[in-house]
Amino acid sequence: MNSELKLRVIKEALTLGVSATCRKYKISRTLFYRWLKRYQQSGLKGLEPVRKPFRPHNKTEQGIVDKLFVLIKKHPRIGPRELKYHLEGHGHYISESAVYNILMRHGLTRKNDRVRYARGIYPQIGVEAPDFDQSKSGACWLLWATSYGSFAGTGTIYEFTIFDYKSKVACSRVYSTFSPGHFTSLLTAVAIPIAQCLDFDAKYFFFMDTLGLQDKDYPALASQVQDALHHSGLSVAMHRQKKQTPMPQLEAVREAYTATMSAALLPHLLAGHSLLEVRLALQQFLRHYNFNHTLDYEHRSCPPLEYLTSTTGILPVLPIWAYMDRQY
Amino acid sequence: MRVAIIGGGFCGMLAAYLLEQKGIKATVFERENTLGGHCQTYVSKNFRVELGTAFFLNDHIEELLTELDVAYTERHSYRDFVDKNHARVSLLPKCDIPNLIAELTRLETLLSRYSDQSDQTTYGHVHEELNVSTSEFLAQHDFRAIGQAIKPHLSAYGFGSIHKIQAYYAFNALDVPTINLFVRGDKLLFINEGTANIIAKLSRHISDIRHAEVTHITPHGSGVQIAHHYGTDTFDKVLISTGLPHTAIGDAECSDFMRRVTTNEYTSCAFEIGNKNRVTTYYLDNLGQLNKLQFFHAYRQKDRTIAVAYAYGLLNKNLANSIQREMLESGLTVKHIIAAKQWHIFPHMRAEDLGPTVYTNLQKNRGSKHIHLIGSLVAKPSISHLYLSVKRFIQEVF
Repeated sequence: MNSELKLRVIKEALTLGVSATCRKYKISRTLFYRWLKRYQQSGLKGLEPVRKPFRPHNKTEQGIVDKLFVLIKKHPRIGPRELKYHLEGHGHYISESAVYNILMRHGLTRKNDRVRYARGIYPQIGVEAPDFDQSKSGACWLLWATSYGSFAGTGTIYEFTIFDYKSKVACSRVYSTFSPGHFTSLLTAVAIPIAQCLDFDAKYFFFMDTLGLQDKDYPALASQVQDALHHSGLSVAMHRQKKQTPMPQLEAVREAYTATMSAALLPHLLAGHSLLEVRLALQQFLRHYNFNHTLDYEHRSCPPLEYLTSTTGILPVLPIWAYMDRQY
Repeated sequence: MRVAIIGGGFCGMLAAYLLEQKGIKATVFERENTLGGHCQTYVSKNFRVELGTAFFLNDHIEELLTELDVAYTERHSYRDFVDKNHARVSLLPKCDIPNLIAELTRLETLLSRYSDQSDQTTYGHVHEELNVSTSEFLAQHDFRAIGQAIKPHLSAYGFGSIHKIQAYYAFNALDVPTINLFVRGDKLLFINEGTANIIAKLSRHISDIRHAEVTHITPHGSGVQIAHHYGTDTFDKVLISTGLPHTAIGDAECSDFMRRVTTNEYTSCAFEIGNKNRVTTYYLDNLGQLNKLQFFHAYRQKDRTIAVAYAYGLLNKNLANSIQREMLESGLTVKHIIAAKQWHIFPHMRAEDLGPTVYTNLQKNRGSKHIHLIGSLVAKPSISHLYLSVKRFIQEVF
């Protein structure tokens, strides 16, 4: 069964009854609940067939790739062929097209982009992913989007989230389309002002691979986000989860949050509420989540903002709109 | 027909532009060397400083900007509020926010009782109950939260203290939709090349701009004679968009109006600061007080941060120093001052001068009059209101 069909089964089961629906589609209740759990944790993507992570046997070693970036920093104006010769000088033998492919994957095929990269302007590549657990509250942000599929009354629903890994403070918005611009809106309308109120010192942004963001779309998204950050005086290194590379520690956090949120949103989606109503419901959920929803941290259980106050001593001074409904 | 326009600020320039579009010859008289009035942008390599108007509320004005091909950006602007010890505080305690929402609904119904006019951009009939100080009006009707929420914005509009300015003016500028816009933290509109860019674009369409101070405006036969330092000239109509000495106007009605109009002294100082991520900050304890820093508007441009600070009072060394001192005390690293400028902002009338029909009288038999008052003298002081009011005036009178 494809993911759309699975979603139809889930919608039907949740409105008309699980047992009857399972009998109708000749599936077991265990299978149904497995689907439901995956949907609640990851949206439509969770219903797709699970693929094993695939690693090409001839993939260029990370060591060589790192060396290549060092060379680009040193000689941003030379192309793949000369880079290949330079690599040979260091004892690494890869083909010109392999060099080109690596450049391609990192948005560095054009000379101007390489010059920008060499001058330390984005895209920032090859920065080691930080140790998330050692990070401070507000330093490492996870960004993701989840597709929920289509609902009668609401239409197609995509949820965009920005999530602080350590404190679990989160903000989300839902839109009816998928566009990188929605990340920028969420960032400038909610995340940056709130982060500023909470004295967050953002260091790393980690884009999680949930929607299967195309390689070619990423540079546009990254530069839009960087521009927004730059305007607020923030300098942030950005990472992107590589395709088919599991990050279990981060995914667990994302799944737990999405499951809590989708439990709040699903009733509205199934009842056919309008996008406007779903947005208000989401805002109410977020206020409840950040202020009152008890979560487990290493040594305690408390809501995200309380965790923040108890660990950093910061009393959150939030803008008025953080406590009221507003349309977007 | 020949029309003279006194004042080369946004409204004067806009009126001239709209008249030329209609094929009417307009002459702008500006006393200063530079045009623009409150639209003043100082340009250096890599950054621009807005010394006067910094942003617009984004309704209606987009039409003009598109027409003039002026590039603009809509973006969120963030605000901080600090108390007398310069500690960050919320504008309203969390528990008061439901009250604010309820009060705003109540205010909207209450204000609709006083509004009689169809034209929402120009001042109209002044209801007696609104000719009291804003704080008194709020206390009378038991609006506690609204007072807290609008205080900083009243000050930023140049209205002075909430205890002095009449509720009539306060709620004309800060009507419920505008309060909502500020409370919700909606996007504001910024001109990419600076607000002076609008003036520059307007001036390209105006054929006759003269830099001379007008000394006398006297009705003369079927027209009006204008005298300035270097000579006289006769026009069919005169539009006054700026404050003039009341003795300079030879028309009893306009002269009497001008005699009653007063302005607030307002000073702005632009600094370059070392802090990277400071946002616009209001000093709650100072709001409405003379010679005290009201707020600064901070923004980043190409790795540099500019803070433009505003205070009531006359610009002098002491005021500039005290602004700088207070900014330092609140944790800013002030590198140096870029510019400072004195304004006479917000033409209005004191309670004793503000009769119920002061504004409506001006609008009577507009077609037959030769001398007219336009712009912020008679309209609500936000660029989009001014734009609409000038546009409507030109449509109705010409």
